[in-house]
Amino acid sequence: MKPEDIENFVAAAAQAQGLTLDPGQQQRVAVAFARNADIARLVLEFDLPESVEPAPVFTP
Amino acid sequence: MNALEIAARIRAGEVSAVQVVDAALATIERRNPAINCFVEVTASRAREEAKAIDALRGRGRTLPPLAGVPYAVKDLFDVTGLATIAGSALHRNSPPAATDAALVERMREAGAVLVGTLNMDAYAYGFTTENTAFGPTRNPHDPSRVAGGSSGGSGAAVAAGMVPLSLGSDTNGSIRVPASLCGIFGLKPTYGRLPRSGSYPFVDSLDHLGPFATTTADLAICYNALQGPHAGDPACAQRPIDPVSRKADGRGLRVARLTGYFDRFASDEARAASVRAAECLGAVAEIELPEVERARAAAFIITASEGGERHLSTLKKHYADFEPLSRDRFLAGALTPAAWYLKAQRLRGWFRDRMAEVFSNYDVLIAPATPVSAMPIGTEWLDLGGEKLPLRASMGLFTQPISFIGLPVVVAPIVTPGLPIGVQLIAPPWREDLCFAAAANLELAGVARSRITEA
Repeated sequence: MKPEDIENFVAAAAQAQGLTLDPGQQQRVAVAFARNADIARLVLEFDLPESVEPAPVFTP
Repeated sequence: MNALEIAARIRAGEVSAVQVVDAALATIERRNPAINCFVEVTASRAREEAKAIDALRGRGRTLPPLAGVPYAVKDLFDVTGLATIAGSALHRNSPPAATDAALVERMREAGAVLVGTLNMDAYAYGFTTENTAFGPTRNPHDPSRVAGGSSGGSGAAVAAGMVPLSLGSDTNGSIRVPASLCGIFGLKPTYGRLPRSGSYPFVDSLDHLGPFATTTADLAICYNALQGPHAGDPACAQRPIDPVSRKADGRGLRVARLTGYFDRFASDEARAASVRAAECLGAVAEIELPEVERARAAAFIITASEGGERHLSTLKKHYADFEPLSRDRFLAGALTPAAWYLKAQRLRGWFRDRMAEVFSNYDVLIAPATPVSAMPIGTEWLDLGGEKLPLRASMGLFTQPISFIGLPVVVAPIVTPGLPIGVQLIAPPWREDLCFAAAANLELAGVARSRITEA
């Protein structure tokens, strides 16, 4: 995600959650979200077989 | 004195439980101001529990295994009569808990004596116990440095000789990181082994509870006392008690040392610790785990999402009073798209199956517990593997992919000339006994030993 995409997403997603952020908060949350997005990339770009299930009740 | 020595001396009548607890309370009063690990000292409860032990002995009853042993708990375990603060100033005036957490009840049944509650990162989101409201917990081996986190108070109280046992929680490394930085033993059991009932949650999918101790034998006896089914926790696997041995048994363990990702981000001292442990245990291989960096990333996303959602309503109302080190991270986590979260959960199922394949060849895997030893309080960045990384998140690089799929781990403190550092001894699900066998072998060989500061 490009920096402006992050800012736009954070603004819209905050609204969707009923969250009011002042400009300073919005900027800091965008920085944190950008870091999460960067880490999430490693998960999202990885091809998982469709058959792999999540484990809502997880017993290894 | 360690827990077993204390219990033996009380049983033999060489000292009373009340004398032991008074000595512990005096040590806490003297040492805590410099370390800042206690949030509350429960002196009157401790004296009452100790008196009950002495009365039992006076009546000639058999004493339980931890009779008269002082311990303390991370401030997210419910303790009757105290607000469960979870490291947040917002909970200072919460209503007091009406009952003890399940594991506190079990410690009491085992005869242990609760002396207080211990500092942590706010809501357990952090690896350093730099708590803005309650102050940082300092590393007993160098008070200018962090104790690790988020169970930093639990690590420091044991390493400073204030208590021989403590309890903490571990979602992504919060027992294993402070055990490593404080130079003591810690156990993160299999996910679902110990009930979390009556503890303040962080990430339901990943939260574990477990003990800290100064010896493998103490860790084992404490863990055995904590086990057993409990209906109050839906993630508790409700298995019968599966006691682990307190002794090294010299069994031929098939051991492998983890390389690749783990070597890339390890400092020289962390890598040396894992090599030393591997040599001592006769490791037969060095292996890389499949897609371990993605596993860590998935744990990170699950944590951000579940933790963020849990605190969203509080953040809407009380942002200004919320821990400044984590409030924006919590908010960002609450905005995680559901598809990211669910992909991370599916990756968990995939990684679990890959690790089951790895464990068809090995009993125990060795990796450093932390990439570095304790850093100075306030450190923001770390250079690791040629990358500039945020320190507070990166202390969990090696622990996070392991707890992601709930594997049991004992952290053993490796003897080094420098600051303490520990290794993870990782076993297949429900095989804590293998972690303990490896830890006891390292301890017997003199390669692992707790470092407790002199009072």
